[in-house]
Amino acid sequence: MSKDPDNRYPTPGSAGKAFEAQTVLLVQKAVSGSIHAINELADLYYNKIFRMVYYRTRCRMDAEDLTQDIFTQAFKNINGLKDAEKFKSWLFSIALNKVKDFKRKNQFVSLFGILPDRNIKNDEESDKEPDGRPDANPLYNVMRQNFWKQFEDVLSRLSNLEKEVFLLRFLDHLGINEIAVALDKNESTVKTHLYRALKKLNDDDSVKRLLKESMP
Amino acid sequence: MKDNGHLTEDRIISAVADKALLSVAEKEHLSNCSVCSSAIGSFENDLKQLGRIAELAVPAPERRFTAYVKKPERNLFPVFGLRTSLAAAITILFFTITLHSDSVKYLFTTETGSYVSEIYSEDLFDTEMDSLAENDLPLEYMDIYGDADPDYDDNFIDFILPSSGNNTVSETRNGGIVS
Repeated sequence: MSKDPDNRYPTPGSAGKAFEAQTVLLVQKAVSGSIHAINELADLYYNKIFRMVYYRTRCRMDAEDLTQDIFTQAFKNINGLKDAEKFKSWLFSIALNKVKDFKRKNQFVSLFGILPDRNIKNDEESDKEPDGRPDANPLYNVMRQNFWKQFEDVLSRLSNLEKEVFLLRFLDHLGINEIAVALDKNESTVKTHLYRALKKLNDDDSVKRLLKESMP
Repeated sequence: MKDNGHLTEDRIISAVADKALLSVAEKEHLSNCSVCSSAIGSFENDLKQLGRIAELAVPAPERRFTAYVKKPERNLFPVFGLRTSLAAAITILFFTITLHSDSVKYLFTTETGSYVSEIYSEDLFDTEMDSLAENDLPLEYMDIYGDADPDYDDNFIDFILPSSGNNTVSETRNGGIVS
């Protein structure tokens, strides 16, 4: 059994290439209407997309709802995907747009005071929600809460695009070209913003501090 | 490059962002320099560690995505499609109800027609009565009566019927003999 079933840390090695080849094959079958292929693609990418959405919303329920929407939209429009090799970037671009819409909607609602601030609510909710992991316990939840607060502080130093590029690269594990496709930017823009983000984080040692405080 | 030949901090960050950003000379130095390699490796490890901790801090999703097969719907309106058929049905229903409603029936029934013609004939009758009230003689007798046109004066009558002697038309009309 592979140590990295989700292919979180894709390498240019044979495992990464096999995963990509499998994706391409499944996408081709899905385009031709295979429900089985669609379900397999969903299995392969569900956790990646769920995590990607959670990093940006910090609420399990919102992340689950958005992930469902993302996959529904993706498979509804899969015929529009011209290059099967770009499935991952394409899926992430859909996810990014969905998250953006979700945040915009929440900001609009918060602006008129219809609902309390979602981020505060989400933090509180995430502490209470049952985790489902075998190692889930109150201490773990407190640590998780602290981690996300500190992580938010770290990211607050970055501009929106720097933040997005950083998250896509080091948390979602996308390559530079995949990020460029997902964000619809050219590769040099992505590299520039990634460099700036890393410089800021390196200059104030925030990543090292965060790791020090988060390690049990 | 630093004075000591190692990569500067900025170049190390560039290498972490993307090794393709390094020049050929820098890449060559990197392949031979353990100091620079470990500096890059250390930063990369920190970022990988951050990614792993972030991943552990994500709760497990409780739902899974399952694509379902949408059963083909039976098409009840194969020729025009649902919307057109629905619009047509509503239009037909509307006209059926409208044409059979009492108000519309009343408009188009013959009873209404006779009612209208009755009003019209009453108008005609009133007009006739008014004209009779003004002058009860039938039109063909109006010339004989002579008052049909009140503008005729004695001079006009004299011109038509010249008077002889002292007999005036008025006298003639009052029983005199016209010769």
